[in-house]
Amino acid sequence: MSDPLVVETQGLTKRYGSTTALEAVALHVGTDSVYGLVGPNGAGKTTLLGILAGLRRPSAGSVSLNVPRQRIAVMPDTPRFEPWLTAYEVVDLARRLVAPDAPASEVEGALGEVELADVAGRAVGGLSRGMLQRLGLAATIVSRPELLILDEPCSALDPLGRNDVLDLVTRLGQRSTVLFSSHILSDVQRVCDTVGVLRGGQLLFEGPLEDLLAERVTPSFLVRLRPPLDPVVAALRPEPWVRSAEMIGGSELRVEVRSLDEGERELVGALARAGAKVVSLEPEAADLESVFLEITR
Amino acid sequence: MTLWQMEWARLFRTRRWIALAAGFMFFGLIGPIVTRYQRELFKSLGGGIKVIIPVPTPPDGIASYVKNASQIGLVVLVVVAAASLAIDAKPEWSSFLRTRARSTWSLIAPRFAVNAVAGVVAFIVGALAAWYETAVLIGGVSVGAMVLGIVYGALYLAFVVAVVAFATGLTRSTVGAIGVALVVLVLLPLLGSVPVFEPWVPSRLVGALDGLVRGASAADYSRSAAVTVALSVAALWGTARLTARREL
Repeated sequence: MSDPLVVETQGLTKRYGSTTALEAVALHVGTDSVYGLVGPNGAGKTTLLGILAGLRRPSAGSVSLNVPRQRIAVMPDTPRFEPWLTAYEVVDLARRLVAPDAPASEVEGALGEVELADVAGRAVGGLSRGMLQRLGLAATIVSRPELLILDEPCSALDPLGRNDVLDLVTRLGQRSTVLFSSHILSDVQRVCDTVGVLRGGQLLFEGPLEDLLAERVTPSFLVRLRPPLDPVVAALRPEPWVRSAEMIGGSELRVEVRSLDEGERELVGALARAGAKVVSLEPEAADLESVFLEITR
Repeated sequence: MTLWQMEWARLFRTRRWIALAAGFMFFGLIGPIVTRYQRELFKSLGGGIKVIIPVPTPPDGIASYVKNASQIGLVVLVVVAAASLAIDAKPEWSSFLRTRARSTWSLIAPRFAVNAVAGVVAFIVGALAAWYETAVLIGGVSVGAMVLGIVYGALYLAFVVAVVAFATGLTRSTVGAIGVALVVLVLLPLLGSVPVFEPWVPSRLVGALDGLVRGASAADYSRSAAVTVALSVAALWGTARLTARREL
């Protein structure tokens, strides 16, 4: 976890009547990190971000923000603007509200960064959903905030647009702290260095993405062999560091091991002792989706 | 673009100013004409029914404008103001503004001011039109009474916008705010029908222009004007408090 923290919550709880939307959430967002908040629909992501943005009040607990409010920029999941404003005016309004001393050229810069410079003079009412999402990002970055809170920034974008926005988030992460929620796990895995997994209002995991991937899923190796495979399987199963060895089709073997470290140390020797004709061997990459399913199940 | 510029842009780009201008100017132009020629109009209808209509006086021409402006024009102003002041009616846009503005008041002030000014200007233009036509068709009225009556009327319209603002603090939807504001504005004259409250209620200012051109004194409306100013300030203070406390 990076230090010092930009956002820290303690025992953050939010109730709507008898429904608990957040329960004792302890969030820690480090400086200059790109923090991905993942969770299924209704997990409490938007409620949590709303509290951090100052748009909702917690029922209990505390929020500590180590940046001035004016240095925090927030983008909702489906940005909406007055349809009779132009794209330029929306971003300029954001500049005037948050950073009035910043030069007007910042507006063009922000629009250019999200590739909306060509439609700067067009009324917002005529823009597509994807364009509105990018306009929301332009209005968010124009003030050069220290903390960006992005709620599902890619939700309305096609794959190409999503790719561009994720690239932008990666770039922003080099100069600001970014906290963004998403249910598209591959997006989070691509741009985030820290992950928080939220389900039913509870933060089930928080930490570096690598830790999550390394610790939460049983490490395994995929071994491609020339037949016969049965003697190899029989030789591997008794090994104490092997959790399971299963054939996949007629030429592949999945070996689940107690730890990645032991697997890397022992597997090659064990295969050699079993007389296996190894074509290839690679660790199976754990992806966030499988981890997410495992810990939210 | 500033929040103030945005409100002016809202008024003109959405053409709401036309609704306001039409609401007041139409009756400013038509009212005195109808008053002047209503005897001839009824006579032309014929039918053997004898309708006795007194010869119109200049205050009747002004009264005709006041009556219509205080009904149709007022409803138009309430709708236009509510559409602007209902900040939280679009939560996504509201979150854009609320997370950037330095205070809730900085969002409310331009919306209140621009709508109040627009309503007052429309009322003044309508009153000037009614004044001119009354002078041409029926006869002249006291300049001092007209000016003072317009000032009192303007004060009431600013109060109306403050009531709409307060209504948006109570309910986040535009339609809800219109409903709440109209109920309040209808209840005030009912309260004024109680003799002890009559000199104090803001709705008394609605008839100030008519009353003054008929010879009432400025003092007859001073208590109502003072209450109107006080309630407007209180309504705006309440609006800022309620809006700031509301969660999105």
